[in-house]
Amino acid sequence: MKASRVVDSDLVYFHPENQNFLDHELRTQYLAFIYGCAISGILQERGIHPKFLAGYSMGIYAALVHGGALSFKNGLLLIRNAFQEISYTTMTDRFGMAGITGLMEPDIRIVLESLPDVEITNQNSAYSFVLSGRQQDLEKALDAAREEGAFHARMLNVNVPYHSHLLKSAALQFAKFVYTLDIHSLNLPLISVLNQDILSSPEDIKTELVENLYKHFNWHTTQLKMLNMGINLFVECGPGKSLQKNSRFIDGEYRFLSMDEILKH
Amino acid sequence: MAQIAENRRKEIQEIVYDFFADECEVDVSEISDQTNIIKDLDGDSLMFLELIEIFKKKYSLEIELKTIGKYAVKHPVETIGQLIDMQMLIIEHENRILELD
Repeated sequence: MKASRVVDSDLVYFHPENQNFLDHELRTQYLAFIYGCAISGILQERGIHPKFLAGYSMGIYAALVHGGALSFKNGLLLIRNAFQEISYTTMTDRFGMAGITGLMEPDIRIVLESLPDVEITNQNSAYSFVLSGRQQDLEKALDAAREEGAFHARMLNVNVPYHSHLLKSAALQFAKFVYTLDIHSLNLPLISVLNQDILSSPEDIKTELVENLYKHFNWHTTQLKMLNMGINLFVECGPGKSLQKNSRFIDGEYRFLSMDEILKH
Repeated sequence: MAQIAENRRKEIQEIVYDFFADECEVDVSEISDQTNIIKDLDGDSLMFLELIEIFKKKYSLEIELKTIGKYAVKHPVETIGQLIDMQMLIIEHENRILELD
């Protein structure tokens, strides 16, 4: 109800079985954020207190709410403002993102040699990558990846090249809004998925929020960093189990739980 | 020779059945060679990849993932039985699997 008052009155009509709702990119982001914040509440209720936070892509907003740096309302406003700035920047062409599973980074670099505007914008594991760019270039990249032996190569259901240089101008506009907001120090550290630095100050957080729109991130390296720090239990706080599944390709002594598993107990 | 192949197929079948039963949270009795991996089990490419890693370790296979991917493009796998047959070929031929075409 609160989210519908702040940003989008139609959010009250959301129902998990109404898949049409999920075709609306901005609403999908609101819902992912609301889900993350709800999970944050459940973890607190159950006495599960993480030692570190990490926000996968736009998961940074809910992570910052959990860490006490951001209010729920400001999280929604940040998502709306970022989306508006990105929409202005990307209205002149068709953009998107794509996922490739089964190739390693050097193979993907070969695939992308003739497509300079397509970037690897995230690595989930040694065998799973995300690309961003113009849709027609991404489709060429996917065809080449399949020829190269990718098990799975498909477009993702987004029309924005998140985490790519194509959003730098949008990010600079977004920065003007970020710096007007009241953002506090984190009460537990957040590991940057962009460079794996440990963040806690408002200045660090603001920089991270802006750079998160147009810089590559690396979930694989982030998880490795946490493992090296001795973390042996991870909880995926978004819907689904994709990080948990990808973690099986990352060696180490640890457990990775999805929210389904947490909610069962 | 035929007996060795049959024993190996049984061994692979057991690993594959147990793997998908565990991953997809279904009883192993619900899985057969005719089970469709995506339609019946909601399987995905990461499961396929994980299974290949299991077999690579178990049989010390020298094969690149992309070689298997190239083979799979020409010989798509839909059912558990097809997956087991492909795994038999991978174990037998390793990186030479593409020469079978």
